[in-house]
Amino acid sequence: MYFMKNKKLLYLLLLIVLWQIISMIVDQPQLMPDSISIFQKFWEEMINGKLWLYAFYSFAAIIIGLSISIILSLAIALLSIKYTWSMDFFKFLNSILHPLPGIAVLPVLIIWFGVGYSSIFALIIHSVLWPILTNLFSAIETFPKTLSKVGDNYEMGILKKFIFIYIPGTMPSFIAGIKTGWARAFRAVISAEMFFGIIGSSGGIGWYLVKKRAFLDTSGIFAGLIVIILIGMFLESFIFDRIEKLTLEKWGFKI
Amino acid sequence: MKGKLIIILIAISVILSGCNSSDEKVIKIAQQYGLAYAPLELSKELGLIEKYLPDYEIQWKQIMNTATIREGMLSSDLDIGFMGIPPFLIGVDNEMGWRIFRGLSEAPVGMTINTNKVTTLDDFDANHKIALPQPGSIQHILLSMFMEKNKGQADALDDYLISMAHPDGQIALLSASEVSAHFSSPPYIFEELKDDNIKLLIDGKDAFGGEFTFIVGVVKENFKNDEVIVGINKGIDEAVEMIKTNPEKVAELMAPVYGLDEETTLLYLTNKDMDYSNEVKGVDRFSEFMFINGYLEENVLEEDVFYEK
Repeated sequence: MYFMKNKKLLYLLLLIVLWQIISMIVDQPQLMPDSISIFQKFWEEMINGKLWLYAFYSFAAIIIGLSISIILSLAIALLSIKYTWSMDFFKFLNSILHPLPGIAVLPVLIIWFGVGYSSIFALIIHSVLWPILTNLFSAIETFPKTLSKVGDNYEMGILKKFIFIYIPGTMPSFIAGIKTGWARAFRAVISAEMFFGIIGSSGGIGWYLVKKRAFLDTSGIFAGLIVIILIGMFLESFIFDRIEKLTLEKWGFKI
Repeated sequence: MKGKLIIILIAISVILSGCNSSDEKVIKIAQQYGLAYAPLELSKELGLIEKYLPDYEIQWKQIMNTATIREGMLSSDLDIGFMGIPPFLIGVDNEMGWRIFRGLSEAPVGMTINTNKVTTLDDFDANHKIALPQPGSIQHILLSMFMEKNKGQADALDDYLISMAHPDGQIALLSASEVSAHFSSPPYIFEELKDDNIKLLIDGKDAFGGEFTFIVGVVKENFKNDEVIVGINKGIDEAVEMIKTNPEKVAELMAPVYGLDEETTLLYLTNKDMDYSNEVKGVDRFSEFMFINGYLEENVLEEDVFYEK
């Protein structure tokens, strides 16, 4: 494990050196700033606290949107276990709406919900809900009948069965769905912020990029990109890993 | 198998040949939307620049915002661009080698408000926003100038900006959205003011404290070709002359370009504050303000940024 991490560090170093060399050859800081000035800029923006704030706004919007989507998808799943028509209907809806990229529906969302938080949440829900449902439905369809019958033997109601049997049983697919959804939501939010600027009282990381672009601050753009990468890595290796540890590994899906 | 390989190779060579833009006889000119660019539209329509530069092919590119034009010129995809003075200065400040070779127009720019939503400068908040093309645009800098003069703080309203192209901004201002103000230019500002609920809150000239050139022509420093610059200037000058001497004819030609009827186009073109000329006014004042308020790292001097033969 330690060796693996070390290796990644080595790759990172290699990348930085390579970048430095190319940027020195190109020698046009507006096109490709050297790595030192990018890190300087990154540090400067972090110390001033502004970049964190921008990142926080995007992050908070995604977390809230993600939570709403998870609750919605669980409700739809519960309904679909109980009634076959619900499964059919949402599968149909899913097949229509899943292929639509978030940024493509943005103009419609702006007309319906304005340029505030409601549009952003609608956009996130659209990006997250369908991947989660796709995964949940296929897990429910292939769900072992025996497990469900065990619940019947214990005379569990549908809600109890859902919480104690279906949710743990479909957890691997559920988490896979959330992971896809999260990646899509992150993209959608940043595109939306770049599309219509500030949401609420302060802008997110997309707006930060727009501002840096408007002032031809290429190092600033890269500082923003680093933050986006860091947020992605943080979610992947801390939040999702932790959730998997608490659920999948604990329940024996993954060792 | 061999046949497939040849097809792939041909495909690749076709794609690569599309990337090669070393043809020196092509001049790529970028402009944006609006009445201030009318001489360019007219030159394009009548082939006025081609008249003076018969050996060259002129390619016109209509681009939605200044940042894109700047990036296009940076990557040598565009030779000449038309824009406001502040975005030009930001480029100079970031060591972009480019220069102003002419002025194009002065125009009545300003910030309109929807009086159903806001009435004073103090009414803006997260639910009442200001649409303008982008931060660092001439509209944004004029807003900052006005705020500095009247509230002592240039970025007082910066938290309530929304980046929108003018046509979108116009729709948003008139509709029941969060956009309560729009810092724009003709013809959008003229169209907006026709509505009873729309009022002019900030006049660009008041904000600036005098007259200034709205749009200038910019060329990359390494594009040292006096023949081309002279030719382009002659073509545009002829268009400017035509707007002054024969506005009826120009209105007839330009009405479809702006999606307006002829009468309105004529009215707008001959508005007393619409002034087309090659003069460049206001570089020093913009530069000084932007430097003092942190939009520029250095005070850019007028004499250092003009194209010289």
